[in-house]
Amino acid sequence: MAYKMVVLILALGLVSGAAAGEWQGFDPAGFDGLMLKPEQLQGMVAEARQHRPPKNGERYVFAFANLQRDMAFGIKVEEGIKANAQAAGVELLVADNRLDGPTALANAESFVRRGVDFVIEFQTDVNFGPTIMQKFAKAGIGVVAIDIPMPGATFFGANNPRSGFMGGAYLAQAALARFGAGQVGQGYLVVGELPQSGAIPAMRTEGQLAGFLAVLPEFPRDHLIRIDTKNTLQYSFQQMRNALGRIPAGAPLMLLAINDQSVTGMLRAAQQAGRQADLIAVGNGADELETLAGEPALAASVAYFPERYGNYLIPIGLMALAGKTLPPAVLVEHLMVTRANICQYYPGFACRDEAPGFAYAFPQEAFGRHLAGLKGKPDLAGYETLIPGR
Amino acid sequence: MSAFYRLLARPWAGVGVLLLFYLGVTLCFSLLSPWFLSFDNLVSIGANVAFMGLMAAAQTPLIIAGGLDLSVAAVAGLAGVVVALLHAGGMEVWSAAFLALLLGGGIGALNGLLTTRLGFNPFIATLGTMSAVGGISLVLTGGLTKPLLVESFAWLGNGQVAGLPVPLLLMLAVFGGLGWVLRHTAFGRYAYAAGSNPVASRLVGVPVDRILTMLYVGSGLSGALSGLVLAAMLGAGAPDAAGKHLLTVVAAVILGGTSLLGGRGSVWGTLLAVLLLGTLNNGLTLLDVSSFWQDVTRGAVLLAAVGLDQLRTKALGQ
Repeated sequence: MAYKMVVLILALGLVSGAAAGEWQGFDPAGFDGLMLKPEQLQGMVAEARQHRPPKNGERYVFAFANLQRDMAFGIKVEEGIKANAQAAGVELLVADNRLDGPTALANAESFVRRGVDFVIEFQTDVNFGPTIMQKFAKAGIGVVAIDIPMPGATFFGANNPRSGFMGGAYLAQAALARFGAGQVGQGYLVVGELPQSGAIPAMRTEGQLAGFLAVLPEFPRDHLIRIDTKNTLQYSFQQMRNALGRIPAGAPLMLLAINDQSVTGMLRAAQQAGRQADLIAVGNGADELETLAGEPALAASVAYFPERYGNYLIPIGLMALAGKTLPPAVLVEHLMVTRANICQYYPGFACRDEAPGFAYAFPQEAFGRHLAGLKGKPDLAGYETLIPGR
Repeated sequence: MSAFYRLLARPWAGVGVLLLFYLGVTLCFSLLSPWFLSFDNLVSIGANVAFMGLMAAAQTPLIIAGGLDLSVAAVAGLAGVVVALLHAGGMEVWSAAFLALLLGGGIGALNGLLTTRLGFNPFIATLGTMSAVGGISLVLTGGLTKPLLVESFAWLGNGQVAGLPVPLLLMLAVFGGLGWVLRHTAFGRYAYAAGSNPVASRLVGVPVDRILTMLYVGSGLSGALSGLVLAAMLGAGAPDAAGKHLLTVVAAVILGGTSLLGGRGSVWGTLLAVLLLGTLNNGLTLLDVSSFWQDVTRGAVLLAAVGLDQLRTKALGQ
């Protein structure tokens, strides 16, 4: 048992003499997110094998436990991981955690039984993290956790405070350009949250609010409405329709939400209530691309590029197997995607010649203050590494 | 027997108790929130619950007759997906909607066949079709939402007739129709008889299997119709659009006084229960109550309403 633990620790590179940084042309902290060449990935595999050969003696077996396989985000993450695994010559097992802690635990046990070499874990229930990690640690399996931190695993995922702040600031600037300073103060901001997922995803919606208020510090606080979207199109629609009862007709309506699906549901509810003319929204995720490309009220969305997650995750796994030091958290770079620039990131969609009417500026100083505030929050104690330094 | 128990033992007392409860909740929200008691908000509650109401309406006579359909919400998701995909493939949207309705009816017929001819337990049979139908929706869409922004079709989800939303009118029409059928036709009487005592009913010539199969087909149709309304509302076909509301649909039927054992219930109780659940959701959101406390409050109100119904059942026993 002690031997296995030592092997695990070595495999994770936590006490390795190697310094964190570039390996085989891959630096997790400064990576551009574009897929490495197959030769690079195969080179990584070859070097990792020298440090820690595959358990089955033939080739590495990676396991990916997806958050849920029927949502756009999860599907794109999975496709990216599959493409990278194939290019690297790594066998990939995939399971569906179905947004459920016990299912994630059962999947983890199944991976252990099947003797995988490395696990990419994407599960929603933070309370199951320690038990799941115990199983993997006992079997000497390294883990990278997506979006929800797990003790002892490298964290990979959204820079939640920054992505939220970007979207909130963008919405405030777009609303100012569209409605004017006087009108915006009469407006209402509705934030679609996901409270049941805990403090980490809440950093995103809190960031949205902080970004909005950084641009519009005088915005009346009683014009701020929070709704629970339960992460679905239909529930967001329903809750938004309920909330509309509090918002006077003709008042500018500004919408932010934890993800694009939720903001789409909120948009549809406002449109059906005849509020189209007063409506502006910013999404989060840029994964509902057809809506983003075709919906004028959706000014922009903060991109996460989930289809590129695999470009990070497979090299991270190989890096761990090669005994290289990994940073405790690898955060994704986010960008604002609009109808004017969508074709640059997603060539399947045409760009439209639509000037936003303002020059977007990220309020860096206010963001610094927001981060400093987060570091002292008691519900984020223990997750300090997930709060970015910039 | 006290006067209170005598009152509770009246035939209309079940619906009456729920109506009183509903009025009490409405009064509370009217006093607590300045936005609650407006025409627009009340109409919005009705439109919001319409898709659940459509499913619950057809589920009521089915449960009364001794059946149960857990696949109805999955059928709703599939119907929305089928319309979106067929339309994207070039089919005229209303033709696609008609096919989706036929598909819903077909899945209902399959449920009827499994439970009546093959003797499967309704819970297990429809749990199976729920899983299969939900899976088919995911296979067809790859798990993604499919946009369906067609102006003429959107009318089904957000159009108005005489100032009232189409989904609300549709739901009321379905409840009205089913209420009439249950009360004034032989089919309705057979449904109650089949649920009360299927063996005795068969002996006296009630076509229990045919009644149940027809009610399963009705449930499938209502699921598909609900899915069409949802897709029109949301401007998209989402594979799991209604899935999270299945338990709410069944809860509404039971809260409305329908016995899960069959033989007892009314669609009017179900209608009131659907409105009660929608009103709670709306009122608590307007009061800015956190969603965690909303769940607690909803549970407490449901328990109180069911408690009152238990008192009524006790009164009937006395």
